[in-house]
Amino acid sequence: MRRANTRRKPARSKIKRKTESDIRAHVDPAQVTIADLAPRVKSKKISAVELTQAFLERIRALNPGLNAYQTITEAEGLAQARKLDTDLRAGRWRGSLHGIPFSIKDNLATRGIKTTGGSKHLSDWVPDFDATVVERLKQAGAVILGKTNMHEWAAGSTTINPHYGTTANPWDKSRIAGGSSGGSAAAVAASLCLGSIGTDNAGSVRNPAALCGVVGLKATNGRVSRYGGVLGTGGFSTDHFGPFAKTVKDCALILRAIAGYDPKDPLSARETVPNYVSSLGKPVRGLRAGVIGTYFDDLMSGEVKESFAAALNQLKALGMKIVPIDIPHMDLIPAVQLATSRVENVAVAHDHLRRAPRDYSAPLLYRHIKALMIPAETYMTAQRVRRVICDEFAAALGKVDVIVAPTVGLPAETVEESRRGYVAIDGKEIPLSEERGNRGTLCTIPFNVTGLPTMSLCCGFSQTGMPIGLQIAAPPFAEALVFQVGHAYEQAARWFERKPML
Amino acid sequence: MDQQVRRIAARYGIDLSEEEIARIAREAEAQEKVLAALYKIDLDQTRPILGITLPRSEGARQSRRRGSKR
Repeated sequence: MRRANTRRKPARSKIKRKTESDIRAHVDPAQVTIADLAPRVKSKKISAVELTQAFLERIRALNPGLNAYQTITEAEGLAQARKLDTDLRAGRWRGSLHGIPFSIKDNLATRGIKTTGGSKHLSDWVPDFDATVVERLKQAGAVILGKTNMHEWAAGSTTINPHYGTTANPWDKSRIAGGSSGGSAAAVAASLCLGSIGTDNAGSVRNPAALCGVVGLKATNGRVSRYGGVLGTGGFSTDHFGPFAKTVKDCALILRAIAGYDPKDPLSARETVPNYVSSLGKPVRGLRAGVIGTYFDDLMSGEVKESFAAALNQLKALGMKIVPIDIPHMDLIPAVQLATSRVENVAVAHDHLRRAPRDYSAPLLYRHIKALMIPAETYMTAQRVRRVICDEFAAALGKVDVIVAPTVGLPAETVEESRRGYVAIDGKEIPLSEERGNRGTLCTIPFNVTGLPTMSLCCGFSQTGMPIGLQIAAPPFAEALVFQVGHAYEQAARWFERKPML
Repeated sequence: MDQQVRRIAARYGIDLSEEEIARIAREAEAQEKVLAALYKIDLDQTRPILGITLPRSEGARQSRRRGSKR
């Protein structure tokens, strides 16, 4: 017996060593989430350096075909990861984001790293400071792997960038990734990072999140500091910064790290930041989801309508009540957004317009000139109409707990269709841009005008295999409720289990 | 409309072709139609959203604390 035991013992320990070695060496970026990895990093089953290397390897393999990253910060990322491993060995675990690979949209200042805003004007700008969101991510232990491509000056929803190339959609590389934070959404969808930060002036987080099948959130206006954002890549009153992630839980973990008052941003809110993860898993039975009729109905293609209807059925199956709500002046939202955002953007473009007007692409130069033709009185009228609309939303949110809506009325079009300006849907040629705005943002701008916290998550796929997005909005600072409903839907529908073939 | 485009181009030193001026003027007209909708509702007694959030000054805070002690 004794001999037999002696023989077996080394064999068992060999197997154990091999298993541990496998765990350490093999991290498939496509199969993990932040919530999966956090305990493994904390218990030192995997190091920040190993994680960083695994993701850098994937970036090297896949980014050339996607153009999600504009700048890859390999050396800085590895240095950060080494420091985080040293911290952990010394017993300093910084929280769930410790050692987690992130990317940052290229209109958020990163110290020592080029920040272009997707523009030619800032092609050489290397800030000597971090945006507050970047600083907070670093403090929370995130490893920054690079800067993501975006629409020129964040002024569009395709990420077809004349200066830095087109970001491809990981689900079909012939299609757009959406925008303006297209690189961030594509990077998360392709598992080239586990989280990213984008900016959302008209839907620039939620639109690409929907088209790339990931979760994207813009929190309540003021919830996340906007210090360090490139001026002119979003209106002062309509822009929001927010996270991308693969799951609602990961998104909640990121928001917790970046939210909160910032003395450097006088428009940031002093509201306390709750532990959003604690709201996940709470039952949603009895909660009321408001659905706004005509405005969104008119923007949805047949298959987006079907997916949206199926999502409503799923919410009903979870015990939620679907309640039709009315926003009487909904149709004025595009005019308010146009007058507000374009004027606020052009107000900081004077120097670039004077010094290098032709460094703007022609459509953006024309847009700025048209914005300069909007009288101050129209801007003020828009802010008064905005008050009416905000009051109408507040009244509606007195009757329901959340509002649900489609994120984008059409699945991602091809790059070719986008360049042509038309898409063939339901047997019709539909223009992608209208005078009141582009079709990619008409479903998202209501929540920029009102500043309400809104998340997009996947609610199905088109016949061409492209993701479709669902928006969930809640009263100001009720992000926890957005996460609660989003998580309940996500876990029931389980669209997150589908991955792009790359 | 095209005169307005020319004025702006001159103010900023932007060299626009006649074709570009015509195009921007055309688009600006369409933009004006969209914005005209803003004037169709009754805004009497409606205050604009301006996003002013004034922080209470430290001095005001201290005098308030002193006041509450009394």
